[in-house]
Amino acid sequence: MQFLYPNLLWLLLLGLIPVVLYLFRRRSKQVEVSTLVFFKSLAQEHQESAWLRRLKKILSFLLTLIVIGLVILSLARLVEIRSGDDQLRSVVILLDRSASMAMTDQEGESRLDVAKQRIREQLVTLPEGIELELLVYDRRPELLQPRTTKRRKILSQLDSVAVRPITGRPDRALNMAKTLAELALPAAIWHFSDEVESAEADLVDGIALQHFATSIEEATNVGITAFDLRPIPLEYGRYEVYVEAALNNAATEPVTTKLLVSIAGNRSHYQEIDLNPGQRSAVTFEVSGSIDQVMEIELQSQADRFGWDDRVTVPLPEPRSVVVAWIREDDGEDPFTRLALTSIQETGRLELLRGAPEAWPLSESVDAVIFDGWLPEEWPGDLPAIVLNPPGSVGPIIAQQLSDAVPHDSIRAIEPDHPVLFRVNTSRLALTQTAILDPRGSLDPLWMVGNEPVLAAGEVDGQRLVVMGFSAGRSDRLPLTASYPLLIGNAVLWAVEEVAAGRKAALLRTGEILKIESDTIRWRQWDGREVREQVVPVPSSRVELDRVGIWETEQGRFGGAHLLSVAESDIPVLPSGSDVASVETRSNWQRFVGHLIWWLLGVGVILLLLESWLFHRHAVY
Amino acid sequence: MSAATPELTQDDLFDADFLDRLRALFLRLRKRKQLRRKGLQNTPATGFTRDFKDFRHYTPRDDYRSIDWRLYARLDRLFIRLYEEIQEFHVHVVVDTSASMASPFPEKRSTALKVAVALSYMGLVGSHRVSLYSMGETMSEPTAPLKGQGSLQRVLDFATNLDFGGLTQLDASFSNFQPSRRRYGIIFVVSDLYGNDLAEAEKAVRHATSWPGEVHFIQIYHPWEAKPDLDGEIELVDVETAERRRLWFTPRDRKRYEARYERFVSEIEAACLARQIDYQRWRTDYPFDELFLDLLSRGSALAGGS
Repeated sequence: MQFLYPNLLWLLLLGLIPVVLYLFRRRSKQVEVSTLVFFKSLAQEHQESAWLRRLKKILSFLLTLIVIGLVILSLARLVEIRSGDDQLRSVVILLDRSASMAMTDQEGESRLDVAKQRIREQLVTLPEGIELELLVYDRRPELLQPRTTKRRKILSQLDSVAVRPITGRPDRALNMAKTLAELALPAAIWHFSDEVESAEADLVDGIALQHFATSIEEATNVGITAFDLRPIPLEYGRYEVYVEAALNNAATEPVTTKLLVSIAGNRSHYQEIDLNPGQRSAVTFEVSGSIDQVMEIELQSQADRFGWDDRVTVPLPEPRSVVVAWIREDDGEDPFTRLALTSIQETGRLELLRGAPEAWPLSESVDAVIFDGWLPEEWPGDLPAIVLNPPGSVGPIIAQQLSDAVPHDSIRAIEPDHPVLFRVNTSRLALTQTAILDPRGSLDPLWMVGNEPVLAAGEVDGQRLVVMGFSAGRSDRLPLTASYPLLIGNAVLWAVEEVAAGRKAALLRTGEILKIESDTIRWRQWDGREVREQVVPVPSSRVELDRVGIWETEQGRFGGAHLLSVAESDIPVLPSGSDVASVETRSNWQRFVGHLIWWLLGVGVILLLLESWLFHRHAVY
Repeated sequence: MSAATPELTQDDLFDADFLDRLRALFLRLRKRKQLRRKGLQNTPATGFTRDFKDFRHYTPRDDYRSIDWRLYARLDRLFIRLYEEIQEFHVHVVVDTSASMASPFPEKRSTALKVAVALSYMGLVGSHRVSLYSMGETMSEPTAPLKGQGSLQRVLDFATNLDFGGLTQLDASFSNFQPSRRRYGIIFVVSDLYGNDLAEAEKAVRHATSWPGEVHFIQIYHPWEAKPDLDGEIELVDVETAERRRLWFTPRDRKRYEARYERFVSEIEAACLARQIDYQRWRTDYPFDELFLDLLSRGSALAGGS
């Protein structure tokens, strides 16, 4: 037991008033009468013996004292503490403001509103003098109110807290809360979140963690949890879209959601996705478009009250060609290699620059380079490279040219699923080995002839390399098949894949920090119900993406920011039968069970009624 | 319980002024009686007074001492003289001496004693026999029958020596009351008629039907008893039983009390009327003369009525 306002206990002195009144009570006026028979007839049913009246008087006096005591105890806020004798010194209020806290119940009240109300209720149970801190979090924790003993500051800051469409990271926040709590032990951490259980935290002795779950009892939510968009190789103006939709685990029944895709306002794709509770389903499809067009993807589902994860809006990226330099001896140009590269070039996706070794180093910027029968003395470590018939060893390329080429009738594919071997049929190929490769380090052998690798690929220090130790022109059954152009094309595309990926639309998740050189940032944001445009000033060079939608800087840089969070889309619910404001406490220290004000006032009222019924229900006693 | 009330002296009960007023009342009553008799036949009854009334022929069994010998001498016929009938009553005056008659309103005691003395005086002046009784828990033995105005002093002594206190046992007292049947009696009961319960007075009235003579109940009451001026929390003390009772008296209770008191009085009055018993309420603050005159003019034999 503990009093929240012990300074009010001096009001117990008020109990002296009835004591004095009882001790020095004015005797009732005595009136002599000739006979009592007429007075008795007024209330014959109330005739009582003197001792009973005396007992009643004493009982009435005691009940009055008890009622006064109960009222004052309730004013002093008597609370019950389950165990521990230590006094609480500080409380860290940890409030989740991540996206899922915007989930509304049937009354339209968000989880954050419920959490705020619960915080206010909890604050009144605290004794005076306890230091309070308000820590809110989504992706990052933010200390909104440093340590203070003034609750109105906490309440004022609490009013300013709003839900942000950002994935929550309660583990980080909890660690920070723990750090703050350790500064003033013994302490309590009040964690208000829509998660049913709080994140794990190693609490030191003296810290109590109380988790207040504000989740609702029933929720169905379908959301986009992953998304990607990239230009289709070798197809200008065509894009491949990857969308992953998920239904939250707590959903009670399967849901069929509609996937609507539109580009520049025109519907370009429609698909229905069947989802079971907890299931994630990915779909890929292709769309056509051009730069400056915006693609909008929307999930439409019934009974879905969480909108932030239902929509993805992204501008289509610029379809620029890949520039590749082909360095070879003029007289050693392999016609089959030229044919393969030319066939890729014709699709418009590849811009091929041909040059002799004298042109090295290149004066133009390229995305990748093909060394054909020649290697520079100084290896270019910043360019993806494809090496054909290496004459020796340079940099990561360790090879030795054979004086006599060795034909092989069969090839053994070590990693047939490697992107370089995509759709390349090795079963009927025959090639002539021109160099011995030593695929050390990160290079993986892809083709083996006997025990010798003739094709290897890998990434060395961030540089993608493909090495071929054979000559197409000298091989029997390689040049005239479709496998060689595919092999060359795959090698080029795989090597420049990272470069091409850099040209994708800047798809970022909300909560990420964006470095910009702009005073304002224009948002075309989706608030869960409608799309709005807004210009937001940027006070510094870094801005946190705290909205869902498309952003654009003054310099024309643009991109999309989306929730894309499995954790946020998986709206939790309370187990059936649980209270909305259920409390989970993990600590071996102490915990508040509740304040007894209502019990005290209730008992006081009952006693008053009892006294009234016993002693004052009739005039005569 | 003996009521602590101031002693009454004989002058308080019967001073010269009171005597004058009684005489005046007596004359007023005589005048009323004569006025009432005008035009009416005299009573044929004869008696043994000295007032001559008539002659009639002597018949055997008449008292020969009544023969008028002078008239025999003149007429040679026997006539006897008839004289006016003289009725001599026995006046019984019963005074309630319970504590409630003296406390908390001593006016009730003085009024009751004045009434008793006045009635006794009337009886003595009328040459009637007067017996006085005190009534409390039981009926006391009567005083020796008093006669003649010279006995007034004894009446006063009796009145002033009465000790007021104790309970009222109306039923027991009235059942024990056996007045002499040798003479026609006039019985006056001067009391507040407050018994142990509300029904006791009515029950006690029934005993009066067996008493010889005419009965008069004079209920003495104080105006406060009919309309008590009470309000709020009070502790009532019964002066007879010392029983205490606490109550919170409200205006509504007061109305209920007044109604109950009126009903009590009405029930006694109705019980008396039903048994041809005279009943009179005597409020202590009303003029004595008016009430006394009214009492005697209601046809009491004491006032010469019949």
